[in-house]
Amino acid sequence: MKKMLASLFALALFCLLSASPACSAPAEKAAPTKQDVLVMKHTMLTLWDLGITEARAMPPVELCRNALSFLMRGEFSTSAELSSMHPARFANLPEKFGAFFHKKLVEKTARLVFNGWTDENALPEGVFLGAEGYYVDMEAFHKDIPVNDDMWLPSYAAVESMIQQADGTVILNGRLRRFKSAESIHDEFLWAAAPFMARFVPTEEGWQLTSFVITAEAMG
Amino acid sequence: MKTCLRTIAILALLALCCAPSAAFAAQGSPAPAPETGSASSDAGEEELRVVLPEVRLTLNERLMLQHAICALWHQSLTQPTVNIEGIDPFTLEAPEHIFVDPPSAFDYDGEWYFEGLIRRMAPGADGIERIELLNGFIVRFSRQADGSFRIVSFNFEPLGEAG
Repeated sequence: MKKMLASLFALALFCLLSASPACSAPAEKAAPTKQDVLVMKHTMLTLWDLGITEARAMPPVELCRNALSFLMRGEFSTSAELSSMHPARFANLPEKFGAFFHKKLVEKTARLVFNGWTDENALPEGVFLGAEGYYVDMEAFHKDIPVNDDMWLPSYAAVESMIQQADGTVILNGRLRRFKSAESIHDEFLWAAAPFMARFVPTEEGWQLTSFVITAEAMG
Repeated sequence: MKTCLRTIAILALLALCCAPSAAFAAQGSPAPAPETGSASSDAGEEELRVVLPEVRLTLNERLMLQHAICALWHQSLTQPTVNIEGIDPFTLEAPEHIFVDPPSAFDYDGEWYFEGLIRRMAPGADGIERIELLNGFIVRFSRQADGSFRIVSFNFEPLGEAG
């Protein structure tokens, strides 16, 4: 009996000792993967397209509008459900609601891109929140959003430096570029460039953009 | 002595119960774990795949396949005969000044077709970056049982070079 208890005690001590290093040792920080960097660049380009050039706290209505705008501009084909394709999803809703975005996805976008939490009681114009997500009346939604035709121009983001700090945070510096053609598609030239700095923090959900600045650069 | 042994036994049992949860708590602590970058994105991808009701690409997959198209074009420009046998497109590298507009992507019979325009930009004599080469393209990818992609075929059609 004594031996058994002693063994049990030793086993328990071993388990405790095995667990404790995991509690105290600082976790090694993983560098962003190629895929992560592609998403970071895509995020910066989409923000530039939307005319959002710096991180700031925003009221809940604006946060929700920006999160939805971000999905519409940057991830429409991978995230939106259209009433024409999924009529059952839009049953009993007025026809004007033509697109649907999952609540989880909008909330995640608000957190990871805009560093904020959506408020279910603060919805922008043209948006209805159902049990599973946000229904959007595109016409009403875009009514008061300034049109930026440049957002449709071909563009790319180039990373000039990427530094990872001891706490895992990644500081990305680079340049966004847009091209425009004078007469034909074959003579496209640099139309706008914008250096950017962005700080991404690793979280359990993915890389969270906690601060950024996109600076307009004078051309010509 | 018996009481002492009983106490030790209770303590040991408690410790046994606590140890796994302590380890688990350490793994789930808010501090970023080593896998935070990739593993958490994978979890996000999985979550999104559960949320979306139909077969479609996630944003990560779409961006990686666009990137693969750039890499493939880059390779085919430098090596006229590209052997795509067994190539995992996610491993390819591409320079940033080669890019595609968000192309149209659709699935047909288990394969993903990407269609669009691809550009290579370079500074001109005046130092201003211009289009150097423009192609139309169609690239087919097949999704493997493990979720990875393979290039099935590709075609790049020159649309002309900037004078």
